[in-house]
This record gives sequence, C-alpha cells and structure tokens, in this order.
Amino acid sequence: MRTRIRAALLLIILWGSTGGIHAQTTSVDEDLIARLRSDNLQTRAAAIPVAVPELLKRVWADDMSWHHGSLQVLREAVWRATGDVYADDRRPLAAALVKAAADRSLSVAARCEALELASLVASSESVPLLAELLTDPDVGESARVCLVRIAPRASGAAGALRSALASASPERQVALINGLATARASFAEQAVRSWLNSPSAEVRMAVLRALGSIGGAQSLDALWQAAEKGAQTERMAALDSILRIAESLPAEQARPVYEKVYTGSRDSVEKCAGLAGITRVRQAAAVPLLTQSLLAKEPDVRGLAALALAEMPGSSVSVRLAERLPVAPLEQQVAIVSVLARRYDAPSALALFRAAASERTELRAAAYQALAGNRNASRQEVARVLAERLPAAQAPAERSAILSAVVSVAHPSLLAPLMNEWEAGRGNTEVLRALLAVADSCTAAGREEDAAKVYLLVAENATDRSLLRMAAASLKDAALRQDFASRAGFVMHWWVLGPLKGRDKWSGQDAFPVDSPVDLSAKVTVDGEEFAWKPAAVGDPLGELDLAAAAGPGEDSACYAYAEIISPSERDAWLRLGSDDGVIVYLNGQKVHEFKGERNYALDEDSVRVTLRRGTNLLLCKVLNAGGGYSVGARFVDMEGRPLRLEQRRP
Amino acid sequence: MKDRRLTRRSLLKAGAALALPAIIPARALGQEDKVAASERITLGFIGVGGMGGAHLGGFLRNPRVDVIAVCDVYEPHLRNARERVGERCLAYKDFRHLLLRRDIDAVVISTPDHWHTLICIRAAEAGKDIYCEKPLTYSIGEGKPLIEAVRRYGRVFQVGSQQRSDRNFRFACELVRNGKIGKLHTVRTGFGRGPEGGDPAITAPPDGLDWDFYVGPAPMTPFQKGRFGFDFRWFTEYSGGILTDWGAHHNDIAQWGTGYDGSGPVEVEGTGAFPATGAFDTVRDYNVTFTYPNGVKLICSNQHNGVLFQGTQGEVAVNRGFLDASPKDLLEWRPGPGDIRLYESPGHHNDWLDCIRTRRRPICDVEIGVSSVNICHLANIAIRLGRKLRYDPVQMRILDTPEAESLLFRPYRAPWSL
Repeated sequence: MRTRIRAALLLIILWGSTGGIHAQTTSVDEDLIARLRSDNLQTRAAAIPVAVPELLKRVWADDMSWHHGSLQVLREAVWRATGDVYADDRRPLAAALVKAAADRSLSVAARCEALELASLVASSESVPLLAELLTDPDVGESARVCLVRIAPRASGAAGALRSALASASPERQVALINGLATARASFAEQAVRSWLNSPSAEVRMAVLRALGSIGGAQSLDALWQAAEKGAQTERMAALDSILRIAESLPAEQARPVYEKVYTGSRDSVEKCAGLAGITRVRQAAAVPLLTQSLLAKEPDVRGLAALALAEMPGSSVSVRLAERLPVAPLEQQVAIVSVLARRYDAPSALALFRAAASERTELRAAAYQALAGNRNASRQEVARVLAERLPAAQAPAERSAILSAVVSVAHPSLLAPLMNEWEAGRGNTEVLRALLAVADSCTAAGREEDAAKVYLLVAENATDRSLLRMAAASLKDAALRQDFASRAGFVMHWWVLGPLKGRDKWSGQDAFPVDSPVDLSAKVTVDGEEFAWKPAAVGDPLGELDLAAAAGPGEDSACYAYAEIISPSERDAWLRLGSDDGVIVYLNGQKVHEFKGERNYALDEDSVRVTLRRGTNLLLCKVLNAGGGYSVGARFVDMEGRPLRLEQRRP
Repeated sequence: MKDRRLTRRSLLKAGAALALPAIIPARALGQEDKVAASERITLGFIGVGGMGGAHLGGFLRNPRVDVIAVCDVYEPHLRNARERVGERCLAYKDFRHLLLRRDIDAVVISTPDHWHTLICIRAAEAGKDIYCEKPLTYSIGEGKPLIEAVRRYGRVFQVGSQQRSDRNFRFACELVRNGKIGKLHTVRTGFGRGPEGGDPAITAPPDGLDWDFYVGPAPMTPFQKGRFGFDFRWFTEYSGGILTDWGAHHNDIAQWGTGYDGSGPVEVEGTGAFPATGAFDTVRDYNVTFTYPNGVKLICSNQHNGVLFQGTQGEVAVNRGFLDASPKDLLEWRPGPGDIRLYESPGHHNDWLDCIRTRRRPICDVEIGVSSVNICHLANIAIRLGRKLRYDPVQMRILDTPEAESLLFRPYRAPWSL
C-alpha cells in the first residue's frame, strides 16, 4: 500500500496556492496535503496537527527522497500564515511545530527545522514549551533562536532566556546572553552585567558585547573598568559597547563619553572613533578639533577629520576654515584647501581664489586643483586664474597642478594660453592633454575649427597613444579623420590581396615570394582561383584598414596588405602595428615581426625596431584571420615616439 | 567588438592628478612599479576559495599592496593561498586572530554570504579598511549595524559590486540621471533562472574543512556536498540565491540609475517558484515589482537579462560587454559642464586603494552596498509571503506585518553575535 502511494505521489506535482510553488510530494496521503492547502479554515485547522509531524518525519530523514518536498510544503504553510488572510493558522502551526520539536522520535535536524519554522508563527503561548526546550542538549540552541526571534511579539520570550542564565553552563550562558542582546532585552541589563566577573573569558566577552545593545548610561562604569583592565580583545569589545551606548544617548550625555574615548585613546582606531563621535554630537562646535586633527600623525585620523569637515553642513564651517587658512602651517593649509574643494558654497570658493594667489607655490598648486573641483567656483573665473598663472609658473609641480586643473575646467578661454605655451616650446604631453580637454569645450561652444586644429596638433605630436585615441574619438568629419591619420604617421595607402582560405595553412607558407618586390599588376593563383591586388585607402583616424571591406569577408583566412613608404634618409624607427587577428610582417623582404594569436585591433599594439632605407621601403603584412572582422594598421615613429610623416606610393 | 565611444574627459582626468592635491596616485604618475615598501598597503585575505582566490591573484599583481596574511576554514584553500603568496604570508583558520594583527592595514573578505556582516563589523572594530564581496549582507537586519560600525570607526569600505567601475554601466546611468531618456518610469533587471539541483545525500564534510566554523552563525544542518564550495549560494542557510547573487549586481545598477543610493523602494510584491527536486532551496523563477517614492517601477524578473532603463523619450540597455540605446544617437552623448557626473572609478580594486590613502568614500561604499542588497532581500521576502509589502528604506523595516519583521534578521547561532 505504502509503495503504491509513493509511486502515485511520485507522479504528482502540487501547485502552491500562492506564487506557483512546486513541490515533490512525500508518502503522506495526498488528501492530507490538499487539506493543508484548503481555503477552508476548519479543514486546515484539522489537517495541521496531523500533517506537520507527518511531513517532519520526512525532513532530514535517513531516506532523503522526500526531504525537499516535505520541507517546502511546511515552509509554504508557514509563510502563508504570516499574512492576515491565513493568520488563524498561526496558532495551530506554532503548536504543532513546537510540539514536534519536543518529539525525540524525529531526527535532531528535523526538530531543529521545526523550531526554525516555528519562529515565524509562534507567540506567547509557545514560550513555556520553548523555555523547557532550552535545556535540551539537541535542540536547545534552536529553541533559543526561536525565543529570540519571537521576543518582539511574544511576552515572556526574553524573560525565559534571562531565567535560564543562572543555571546554564558557560557555553550556554554565552548563547543566552547573545540572545538577550539580539532581542534588545534592556530589562535584563543588570542580570547580564552581573556576569562581567565570570571566570569564563567567553562569558565576559559576551557580556561586554551584549551591553552595547541592552545597556545604557548605567552600564558605562562597568564597561570602562573592563576596558582599562581587560586584554586587547576585551578592551575592543568594551569600547565598542561604550560607543554604541553613546550613540543612543542625548548629545549632552554622549559628549563626555566620546571625549573620554578620544583623550584616552591608545591607537588611531580609538582616536578615530572618539573623533567621529565628537563630530556627531558637537557638529559645528567640533570644527576647531577637527581642523587641528588635520595635522594628526595618523593618516586615518587626518582622513576622518577631512571627511567630517567636508561633509559638515553650514557655510559657517567654510568661513571658519577660510579664517584659519592664512595662519595655518603649510601642511594644514594644503589639507584645508582640499577640504574646501569639497565644500560647495560661496565662502569656500572665495577662500580658494585667495589661496590661488598665495605667495606659497605649494598652496597655489593645491588651490588650482581645488578650484577646478569646486562646483561653486565660476568656471570662467577659474579659467581666468589658470590662464593668468600658467605662463608665470616656473615650478614643475605648479605647472602640473595648473594643467591638471585645466583638464577639469576645460573652458574655451584657455585655448589661447595653452597654444602660446606650445608655440613657445613649453609643450609636452601634459599640455596636449589639457588642450584636448579644451578642444571638447570649443566644440560645444561652436568653435569646431579651433577644435580641429588641436586634434591635428595631437596627431602630429602625441607620443602617448591614449591621447591619440581620445582625439580620434571626437572626429566626425571624414576628411578630418583621414587628415588625422595621415598626420599621425599611419600608412594610408595599401594594396590588398585575398582573402585566401585556410588561416593555419597560410600561417606557414606564402602565395608568392615575399622576399622580392611585389608586382602589383600580377595576378596570383591559389587553388585555381585568381587574385589581383586591389588598392585600399584608410579612412579610420587610428589607421585601421578594414580588410573585410577592402578584400571581402574572410573567415579562417589570410590576406596580404602591401604598402610602399618613402624615407628621405636611412634611419632607425619604430614600426607600430595593430591587427585583427594575427599578422606576419616583412619589411624590404625581411621578416621583422609576427603575432599568430587572436585579438582585436588596437592602436600601436606591437612595436618593432626597424631600419628604414633611403628611398622606397616595402612593407608587406600577411593578416591571419580566425573569424569575424579582420584588419591591420601600421605607422612609423621616431625613437622618441613622434610620428614620421613619410611619403607613400599611391594608386 | 571595437568600442570607439570614449569619454575623453574621464580619460584625461585619469592621467591627471587627483583633486586632492596632497596625494597623487602612483599610477597617475606612472610610478606604480616604484611604490616604496613603506607606502604599500598591507592586506589580509579572509576567504581564499573561488572569489577570494581571484581577488588574491589580482592584488598579488598590484605593486601598491603587500599580502601578508590569508585565512580560510578549508585547509587546502589555505595552503594553496599561502603558497601563492610566499613565505612572508601567515595563514590563519580563525579570522579573529588575523584581525588582531596591527601590521595589517586592510582586509579582503570573500567568505560565503552568511559570514560577511559579522566579519566586516569585527574588522571595522579592529581598525581595518575593508573590501567585502557582494552580496554584502545575509539579511536586511544586518545592514544598519554594519553601516554604523563602519562609520563609528571611520573605515574605508568597498563592496565588490565591480559593475560600478565599468564605463558602460556608468554611462547608462549618466544618460538616465541627466534626463536623456526623458522621465524614467521603469527599470527592468534580470539574470536568468536560479538553478535546480544539488545532491541531497547526507555525507561527511571533506577532509580539511572545519564544518562547524564554516557554518558559523548560520543554523547547523547535516552536510550535503553542495553546501561547501560555489553552490553554497543556492542554500537559504547561507545566501539569498540568484536574487542576491546576481541581484546585488544588476539591482545595484538600477539603484544607481534611479538615484536612490542609500535609500530604496517603498513597496514590493512578487511571485516566484522554488526548485522541485535536489538539495538547492533558493528561488528559481521570480517576478518582483518594486515601487519607488517617485513612482518609478523596478521589475526584476528571470524573463529579462541585464538592466533596461525606460523613459518617456527613450531607453538604454546595459549588461557586461553590452550597451545599447534608443534612439541610437544617445550613445554619442557626452556629459558637459553642469551635467550630472557619476563617480568615475579607475578600477574597483584601485579605487579602494586610492580611497584608503585619501580616506574618501569609494565608489561602492557600505551604505550603497546595503541599500542595493536590501532590494534583493526584499524580493526574497515578498516572494515567500506572497503579498504586497510596504517598506521603509531609511529605517530598513517592513511596515505593518510583525511576522514579516521576523524575516528581516536571523539570530546568529551561538557563540556568534554581532
């Protein structure tokens, strides 16, 4: 019979009445489960005392086949009962579950599971039995958790925990004390505190931590004593509880607590905690202490002070910082400036402008960057200051600070002074970076021609490829994109032949002699198919020649790309390449580079040292494509990375 | 795929000095390789299995740090990690011993989810800055104590929601926050179905695993194979399943785009389905709707994948390695002066390290991590209770239903406590 029921139920998938929950059923009579899910209260009430223990027999049983489904049915019933519609189920469910937890014929794990479920629906009625279970060696811990969880709505639950304290072993005392803390049972504070002198270190720690949740001003003396005489771990726990208690006190009571933590601090952690607390309760009155803390020797104390000052509301704070600024030592001045940078009000902006005119180079440098980041400072005004200071700045640090600030401010009015710097021979990567930022703002202001001049300047002079990428990203006009690529030294004019089927095959052989000059008028026959050289021009500003467009789609294939570059003299150079995917490169008939992996095209991915001969140089690239798009790009730069704009043979 | 859409200002700024003039990251000066030993941040790793091992590899390649301690409750992981780091590294089974070391500046925490909050709070008390994997908490009730502890001790805290350091996700949120898709009305997130499976057979824990310590504050159960290792996240004792595992990523982006960091929705309702077989018991199918104070709906469903912001004048879809918008020219937009610029991170690890030095809040500070994962917890609760719930995102409480409040926090198994 049982086998038949099991077999029948194996075929049954029950749909939950809430949310479409599936469950593999157990050997419990299907009718019993259906009654458990009935919409009729009386039906459910009758089914619960029977279904709960039956289902629990299958939970964490020796035969785990029914565990999952049975547990899911029980969970579903409990979750449903937490709502108003099925609220009447809570009592019978709680009663059945707690009763089952006391049933030693069930597995320990199943009894624990019953208590876990009971914690969602149990009430005061369950407390007496749960209190008895506290001393059960198998489920006592689960009973404790259940009592803790129901404590907010079940009178007597926390009291049961307290009552069990006196007779419990140290290990159980720790659990009970933790439970009282979690339940926020402040009525138990005295009882808990009385165990501070327990011979068990674990109990003492539990008490120290618990007092942070259930203690109050009356707990502080005991906690301070423990902090003073305890080991490091006990001190940490005691101080943490002191701080947590302080957080619950009115400001005038909390303040002396924080000040004691601060002045008695033994390390930067305690000092930070004290300072954070003082800031919280004193607000603007803490400004002098916080300002002084900007000079603390501990970095995290300085950092906390800076953050607190930056975030403290009220423009009066900025005024006080501004007043301190001129008379502070340099290190503090720099710190105050960085704080003012994050205070977005008029007094902070004003103070920063004054600092930007300071006689101290370091302070000016700090102020420029701070101004650039201060949303309250007029962009135009900041730009004016930077433009004024740039030509006069001698110290490298100050110049760097100004140029960095220019990047943030990026006002069109800065174009002229930056170009002056460039033309005066004081240009470098930092200046180019600043120019690019300003070029953006010129475009936004309708000055596209000015912006274009900057992009082309970058193309001709940038040795940092990130600048090239940034400039290229802005180019919309096709002619400008080509001009850019040309000025950046890219090979613009190619001839392509392909695609030839079989990447792996062509990775090891060639369709024609590669150590001889290429005859562009000749056709190349491969496997009966004739290929001719086709001209292809680069339109991409970063020199990428799209071979799929130039030669045709080429899955698992190879394609040749050929160019002739004319150098006025023999010279060393870097050949910079990118390819998708692999590439084998010949220069003047000699193999100079190969990459046989798979990759996307990237600007200047490979860098090969070569020697260009005077006159025509023959560049032949065999691109090996695994799949998808494929491409190649190349340029020559000098040994410092500057583009060599060499003549090329054109079709 | 070639991404030509660059944000120049951000790239330029990345190469420039920070706005805090006193400190310029070595990276920006191109001096990464020259970080003096005394300037390196010393790290301890708590949890060196899957994700912890990946973080360990990443940080070992970072010249700005010194890894000097590792901790795990599984001996083979611990041994392997120590071998990877080298002789200077000490190995611990008990994280409390690691935290007592004064020479450790910061810790990376990559344990199973049920351990996160407790270890983070202890780490904050011990004065360590913290990088903790997502999902940040196991339950809503852990959020406030965690935030309070971090603020109490002034710690720098980064949650491992690394999508915030991804340009595409930031750009998508900037489009939304700057009104480029009009008025936002709906956000759709999704990450596929939760798994079904896991061997239900009770067995012995593997050799070298301290099962009691691994379970820690969670309820004790018999051992089943999937409970240790990657599949821990499909067991309700340790995690919230797919809704927290991936929800902590995509719902975090939803919060970023809607501008509700540190807060959240005020209503939630949803349905779901659980696995019918196997040992895993976290949700498989889900369809949950959140309502924000401004009326925006967040619909989180396994019918969707990624994050989709829908407004009155367009929409933007984003996922890892994917960004699209309608109309298409939205992709060409760049923020200008006066536009909202969201936090731009130089990389999730490096952002944290920068902030350790500057003491600023990193891109995914503890409050952000808590408010984002709370949505995921709410989804799980709503599915289980099967009815609409009202939520206070600032107090982090479910309103009106005391029984639902029981689901906000699970008391810790002794001897552990917050």
